[in-house]
Amino acid sequence: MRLAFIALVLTTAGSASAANLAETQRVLARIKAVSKDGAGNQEAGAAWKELVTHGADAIIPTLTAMHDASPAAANWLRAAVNAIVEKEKAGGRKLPSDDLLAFLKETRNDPAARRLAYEVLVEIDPKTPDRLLPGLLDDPSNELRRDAVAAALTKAEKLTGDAAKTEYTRLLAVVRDEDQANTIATTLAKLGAKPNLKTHFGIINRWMLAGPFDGTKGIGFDTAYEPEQKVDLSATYKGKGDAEVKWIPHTAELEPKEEKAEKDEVAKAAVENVGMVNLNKALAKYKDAVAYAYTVIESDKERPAEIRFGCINAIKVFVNGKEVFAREEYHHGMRFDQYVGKGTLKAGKNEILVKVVQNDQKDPWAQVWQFQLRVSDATGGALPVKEALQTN
Amino acid sequence: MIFRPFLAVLLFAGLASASDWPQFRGLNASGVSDETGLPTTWSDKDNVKWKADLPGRSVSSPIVVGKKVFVTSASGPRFERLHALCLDADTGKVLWHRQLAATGNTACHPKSSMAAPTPCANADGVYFLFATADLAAFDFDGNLKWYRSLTGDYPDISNQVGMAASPVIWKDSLIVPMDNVGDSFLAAVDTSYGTNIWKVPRPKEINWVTPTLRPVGDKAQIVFSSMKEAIAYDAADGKKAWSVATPGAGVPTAILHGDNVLVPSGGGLMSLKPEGTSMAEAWKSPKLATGYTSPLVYRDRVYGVVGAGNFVCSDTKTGRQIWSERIGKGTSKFWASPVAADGHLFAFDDGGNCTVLKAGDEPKIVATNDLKAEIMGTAAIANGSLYIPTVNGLYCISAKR
Repeated sequence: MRLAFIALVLTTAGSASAANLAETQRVLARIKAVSKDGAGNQEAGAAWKELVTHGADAIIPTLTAMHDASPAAANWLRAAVNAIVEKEKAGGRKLPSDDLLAFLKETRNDPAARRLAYEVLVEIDPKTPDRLLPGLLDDPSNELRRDAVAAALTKAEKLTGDAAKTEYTRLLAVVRDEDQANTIATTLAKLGAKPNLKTHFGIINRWMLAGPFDGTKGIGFDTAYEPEQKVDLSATYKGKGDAEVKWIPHTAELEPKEEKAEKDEVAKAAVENVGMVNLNKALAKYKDAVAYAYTVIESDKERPAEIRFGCINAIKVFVNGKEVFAREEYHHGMRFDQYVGKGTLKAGKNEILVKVVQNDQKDPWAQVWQFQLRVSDATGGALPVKEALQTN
Repeated sequence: MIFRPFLAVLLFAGLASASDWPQFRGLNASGVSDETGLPTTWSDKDNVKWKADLPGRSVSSPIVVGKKVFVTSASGPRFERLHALCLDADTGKVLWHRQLAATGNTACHPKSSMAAPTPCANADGVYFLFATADLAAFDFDGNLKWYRSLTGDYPDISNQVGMAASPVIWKDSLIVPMDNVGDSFLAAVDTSYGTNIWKVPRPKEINWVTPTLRPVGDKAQIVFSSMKEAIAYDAADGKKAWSVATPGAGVPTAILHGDNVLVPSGGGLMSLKPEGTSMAEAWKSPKLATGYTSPLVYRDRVYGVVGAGNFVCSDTKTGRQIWSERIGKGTSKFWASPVAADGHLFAFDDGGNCTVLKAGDEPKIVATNDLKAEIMGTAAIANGSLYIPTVNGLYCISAKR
């Protein structure tokens, strides 16, 4: 009789839990249905409020739902987790730390959701970073990886000699953010090592360049000049001012020049300058002008790729003839990994064509004409591809 | 005393109290409060009722509704994490904290942040716009009413210097400025559900100006200036009401003085007066430069402070300069706009100094107070307190404990 009662309780609890989960999933679906121009917001707003009332039981389903949510829907879900955690803590209720840890450890879960799970775990136990971060150095979530590298860098500061060199070399292999990479590379250089930021980040520095083409009256960005229609490295074009334009080889510098070393000191590493293609130097200084840069990379198999680049001018990027990014903005700033174009590399040789457009601004600060480009995986790590440009 | 236009705007926004500070520079960006009993001296220890630390970096301003203060911040190596926080106005305790992942561009000037636009509020909730074009509405208890990724909706939005213009509210419309070099627009968004009421194209130029609401009868115009003109749109439908060609300023916000509109223009200030259904120049003062800060009208005088710290007082009727006083300290610059209350003017530089001047026709510096922290955002005044934002915290300065 007693056994039968326990079984009944367990069955009932299980049914209730399954019913709650089903209700949570229904609510989550209403939130994830939000779309362009605020469509679905009214329903999502009511669903969000309901979701928060589901309490701690809704945390893992909400994190799980971030996996295939749109960026907008993911923010609805993120804010819901914030609210649930706040309310559960205020009510003195227990948060599901074991489930959160399991969710964090499953690297197939959404990277942003895993980082959010980590943040909740830190709220539950402030010692969580000491326990978990050493195991997250190579994590697919860049936020978690950054935390892990930051913690490791703090510890590495106490190391000297070969022990330091070994540790910083280990950290360079996993780092993704340029500020941390610069710190690591600078330290390694001071320790006598030769860190290679070009290889680490997959920065391309061998190009063929063609230009300038005439972009007077702002037509440059929208005009498809001959290289944009077909790349023929042996071709001769009519360029700006009717000058003859041919493809010329260009190898961008790999040693940062802007960061001068003080006497007897090692130059500060600055990945932002590695492989910078300065068109004012490589071609000549022009305004109202368009230049093309072409390169070839070889991949051993078909793979998704991110073309990451920085450019202070208007830019278009093509991979195997397909436009993967276009932005017409001039002289508003440039930084490493400023833009990301997503494409697919085929097995074998792949062509990358970059169009860089200079405008007619006369201001002294509006004269720069340059770009920096690399090819990476989704975490920002270099892809195993080879530069295969034939310049002869 | 509250000027008539401000009362009208108060009704437009559906707010309960004139003592609130519900948007960038308070009621309709005036920068003026009726609060009294404010301290004129403080330090990072004296007259500090509380101090709250914020995650990341913020150059936005706090707003205050009743006993709640709302602030924004942005953290992460690229400001990719956005924070909307509600603090208890009396204690600084965090009442709720919501986070968003940036869905738009996070590049900006080194002095700025993705937490550059200031939130605004009506009786139903608080509306947070970030420089990433992420836009979220919460009720006062932190429940998400709605959220939009404007970059998701309009992917060509682009400003690599970082956007900073703040939204304002007219009735049930959230007026969202989004001037940029890509998909540039001004939109009215329904405050209940976040859908577009109207959306008008704007010049493809970057611009950091916050719109100003100008009551016209029972309607309102949205006065918006850019580098080439001051233009007004009907708040109900977004149709152009008038425009005046004037070299703009790109950053400071226009303010009202009676029926006139004072528009920062070409390094100085221009007063526009009604002329039929349009506006015409009443006066222009090249000396009333405001730099990155917005002008301030208080007790029939108009004040301006430029980046290096020259504080100018002029007659609101003529623009005639009455006095100017150098208040800058060292290399500090003025990014935050001055505010006024209780007979005093408060001007903040990025070195953490606040110069307190007595309002009037003589330049009288009452005190210079140093918080020893970078100040970029404009202070709010409410609850007998100054809420002074630093880039990573918020001070409540009050004579009352």
